[in-house]
Amino acid sequence: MTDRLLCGWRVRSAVALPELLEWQGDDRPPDLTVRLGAVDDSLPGGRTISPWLQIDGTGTGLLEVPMVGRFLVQRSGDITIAPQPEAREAEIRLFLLGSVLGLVCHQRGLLPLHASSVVIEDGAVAFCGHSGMGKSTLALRFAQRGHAVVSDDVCVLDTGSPAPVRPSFPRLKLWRDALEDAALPTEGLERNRRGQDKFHFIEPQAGVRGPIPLRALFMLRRAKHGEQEGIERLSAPLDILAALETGTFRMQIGRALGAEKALFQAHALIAGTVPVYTLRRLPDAPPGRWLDAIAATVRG
Amino acid sequence: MSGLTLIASYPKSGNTWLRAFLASHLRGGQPIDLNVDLARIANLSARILQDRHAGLEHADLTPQEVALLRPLTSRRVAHDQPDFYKTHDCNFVPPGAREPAIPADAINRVVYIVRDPRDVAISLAHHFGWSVAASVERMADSAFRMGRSSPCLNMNVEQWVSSWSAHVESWLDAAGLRLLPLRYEDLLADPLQRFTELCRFLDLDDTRQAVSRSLEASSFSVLASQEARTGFRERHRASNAPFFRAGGAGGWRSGLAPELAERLAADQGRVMARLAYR
Repeated sequence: MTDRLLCGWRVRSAVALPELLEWQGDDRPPDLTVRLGAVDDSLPGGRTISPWLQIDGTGTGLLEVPMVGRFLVQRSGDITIAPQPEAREAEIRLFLLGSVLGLVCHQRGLLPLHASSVVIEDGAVAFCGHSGMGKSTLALRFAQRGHAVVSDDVCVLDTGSPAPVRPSFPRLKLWRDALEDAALPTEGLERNRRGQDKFHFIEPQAGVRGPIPLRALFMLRRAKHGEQEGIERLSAPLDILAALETGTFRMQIGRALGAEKALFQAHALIAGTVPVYTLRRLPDAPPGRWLDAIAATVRG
Repeated sequence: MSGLTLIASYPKSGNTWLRAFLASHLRGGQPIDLNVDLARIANLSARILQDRHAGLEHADLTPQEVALLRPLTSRRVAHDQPDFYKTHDCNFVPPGAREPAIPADAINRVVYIVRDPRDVAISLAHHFGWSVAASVERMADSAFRMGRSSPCLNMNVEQWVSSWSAHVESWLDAAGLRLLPLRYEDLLADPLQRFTELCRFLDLDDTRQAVSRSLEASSFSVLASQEARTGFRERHRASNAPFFRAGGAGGWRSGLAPELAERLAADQGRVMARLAYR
């Protein structure tokens, strides 16, 4: 199977990863190797970081998702998956390219944000927020206007200066209503989980290969009762740092791996170099409404 | 305080009234803003809370995985963020899980509110925009869940509610819980006495003056007129009536078709008799 490209890494995988671009770089050995094999149900010396994740003193992580399988993730980049017999490939890829990717980032001292991102004005613009805030839907709407998708759930940043984004893949996870609103059929799309009304949509525009600068960050918020919708630039450093901490994917893993200080420094660097905005929207706001305003804000 | 202090009930049984009372009482009986202060007693199944403590996104899990995960997450919330929470979860073990969503060792104490199911049926119908017949059917359905994400994401994770009778007995008969049972009808009939008992159970100020003040701030007329002025964010999208609609007891006598009252008595009669709903 052809090697693939993920966040600048060469990935050799026993599991097909059609979301990822093909590796076209040099002939270096793989940075990440994904194998199928037996994985014990507990990690010797492992601490429970969250209900289904243990991490041991060497930084090796073990994730177990009951109906999908076990993922043993070593700092060396060796990933072993023991799938449940009934697990579907899309389900295995969902956790490999989500939770496991987040763990790998923390193991390698990178900053993963819980964000989708697209290319606007030669840079990455990231949309950060909790489940249900519309990250993927915004990325889809920009993709439909011809913007390349840089990442979906996990937007990976280098911690150097200025912090570039390492593109992941142009696959978006979308609920049925978001696809239908965008006039896209769900037929033929893989389901996120069996029986679930959420699908994997691979953006047909080519993805992005090399690192690109982070142009802007939008923290997606739901307008509370009586609040106005709108875009507002965060200016107080503490507000920006708090927003970035909340927006960091699996922050508790970073803490468990002793990376809290490095993550704080990475947040501070972004706070000092990249404009951070809140985008406050009503729950029923049409997804297309803010696209022009976002693009105009990014252009300045 | 350690562990979760739960305001538990089947839906539409008075949970929001107790939350409004507590929201005021915990701030010395001050007036409350429905759309801000009720968050003081948050829904334990709120997606953001569950995602944060589980360390993953429930939107990527199957309902069965959610059922397996919830007790583990409840223990983490109990440890890391002990507080008052509302819940509509049934306290039996959900299908496919090994423990109830909120295991006893995560619980500090429980206030359980029960309301005449014939009034619940009418209120439930208005809340969800269902027919009353559909409510009656749903109340007998041991597979009843809330928080399902389809065709879009629900802002709560899945809760297994089960039938009205199972819900009531799952809490009232649970072993090893410090539990205060309250009948909605008794709260209405003698609010000062009952809310004083509530405050005593929760180690809150139970002086007459304090309880009266918080009762005033959370009275039906105050809540209903505030909803009329500003709306209420917890009102269901499909609802066909205000959230604070009638707030009384015995509305079923004129508002529930006799055959539906009979159907409820047939489905829920044994547990209704236990609670003196005749």
